[in-house]
Parts: sequence; C-alpha cells; structure tokens
Amino acid sequence: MNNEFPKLSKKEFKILELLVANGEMFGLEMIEASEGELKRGTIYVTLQRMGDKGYVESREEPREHPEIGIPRRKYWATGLGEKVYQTNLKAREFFNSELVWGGVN
Amino acid sequence: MVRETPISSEVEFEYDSYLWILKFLRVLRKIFRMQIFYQVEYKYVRGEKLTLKLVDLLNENKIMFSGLVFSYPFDCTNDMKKLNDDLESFVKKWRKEMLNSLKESQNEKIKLISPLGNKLLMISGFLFSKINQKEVFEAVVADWQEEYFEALFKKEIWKARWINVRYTYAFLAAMWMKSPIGDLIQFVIKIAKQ
Repeated sequence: MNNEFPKLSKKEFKILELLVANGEMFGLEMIEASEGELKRGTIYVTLQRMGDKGYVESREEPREHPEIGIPRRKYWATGLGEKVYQTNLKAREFFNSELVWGGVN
Repeated sequence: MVRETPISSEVEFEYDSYLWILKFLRVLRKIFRMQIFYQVEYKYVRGEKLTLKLVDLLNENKIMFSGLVFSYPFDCTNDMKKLNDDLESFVKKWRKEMLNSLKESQNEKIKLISPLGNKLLMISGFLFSKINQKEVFEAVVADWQEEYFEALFKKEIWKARWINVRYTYAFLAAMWMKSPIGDLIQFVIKIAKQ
C-alpha cells in the first residue's frame, strides 16, 4: 500500500480537471480553456513532468493535408491521473466543507 | 500587402538507384548552401517513381517553400558528371519556375520566410536532450505555428507579429524551466512546501 499522498500543484490540478472533463486535448486547447491559469511556455514542461509521473500520456497528431508544420501533441489523463485528480478533488471538497470549518467562513 | 505564406515542395522523379537521391540532395546543398531536412515518402522500388518530400528547406537567405508539386523527366545515365549537370540545371530551373509561378498566381508581393521557431529549435536541440526537444520545445513551436497561420489566414498581420513575440518569450521561459537552474528552483519550492 502506498502511504504517500499524491499532491498536485495548481497547474497540474487544472490540467487534470480539463483532461478528465474533455478527454483528449491539445496543449493550446487547454490553455484557452483554462482562462489564463495555464501559460504557453510552461504548460508543456508541466505536462512532461506529469507524463513522467504517469498522470498523462500523449501522442503526436500529424497535420492533415494540406497543412504543414510540426505535428501537434494530443494529451489525455491516464487511469492513475484520473484517480489522483479525484483524490485531490475530494480532499479539497472535504477541506472546504462545513465538517472542517463548521460555521466559520 | 506583404504576404508571409509558407509553402512546401514535392518533387517526383525516376531513378534506377537510391544513391542518386542522395547525390541529388548533395547537389541541392551545394547550389543553395542550405540545410535540408527531407522525408522519403516511399521506399525505393526499382523502376518505380519515388516521391521525395522536401520539408523545411533553409538557407542563409531564409527561404522556406511548400505546396508546389513539380514533375521533371530525368535522363538517367551512369555518367555521374552528366547527371550532376542535369541535376544542377534541373534544380535551377525548378527554383526559378517555382518562384515565377508563385508570383504569377498571386499579384501581391511574396515574402518567403524561414520556418517559425527554427532558430530557437536549433539552440534547444543543441542544449537539451531529444526527449525534451520533442515533448516540450517542438510542442511549443507547433502551437506557435498553429496560432500564427490562423492569424495570417484571417489577414491579421499585426496579431501574427504579436504572436511571434509572445511565443518567443514562451519558448525562452520553457528553456529556463528545463534548465538546471529551473530544476533547482523547482526543487527548492518543493522542499519549502513540505
């Protein structure tokens, strides 16, 4: 049994939130959907790190003829990524619930 | 209006030896003093046509072209010198005809540009590993190209230029994050959070 709680940074949480909700997405689509939370330069570094952890996977999507250019990468959340996301989501919901704070704002 | 449009080339020709293709590329390199990244579409089969797709041609004068298919019948002989001469004249004629056809097909002034982000990719390719290059930096440039061409398609030239500025910054930010200093800062942040 793994005793280490899989923490997600704000960006990682946002990325997984988008991927779990939308299935496969391009990086640019995630940037547009995040409304400024995810940045163009740093998203791919974050995605690579998440890939190393096993939370996301990706594949190259070749351009359709007659488009030219470097093929874009499409990303999706793995089973582990979804599990980690759901865990973090439940943890946040619990932390923000009345059970923890009672009547205190 | 200056139109910045990328174009690609496909050249079809018949050869009776795969080695001729390599010699053809050497001639191109010699004539244009350019780096050539090429992709062979089909495996060579004796006597059949072979399509050689030339992508991302660069030279000192910053030329990239795409979208033109050009067919030229070759006289294949075993005489290398004659073949080289044929190839040289073919390429010169090809280039001249290609540029002329571009100018004829569009009345606007044509400006040929180098592939977006290419110089930055060359720097990152030198500094970082292949995996980082493929998964991080090429991904940034792919998005760059996507947004840039979309802006050009809508004839938003100034927006396209702003996109260039924005993505140059984004690329440099990605390089910074992937550098050892970026990793060190990430490590320090991780420790501080614990």
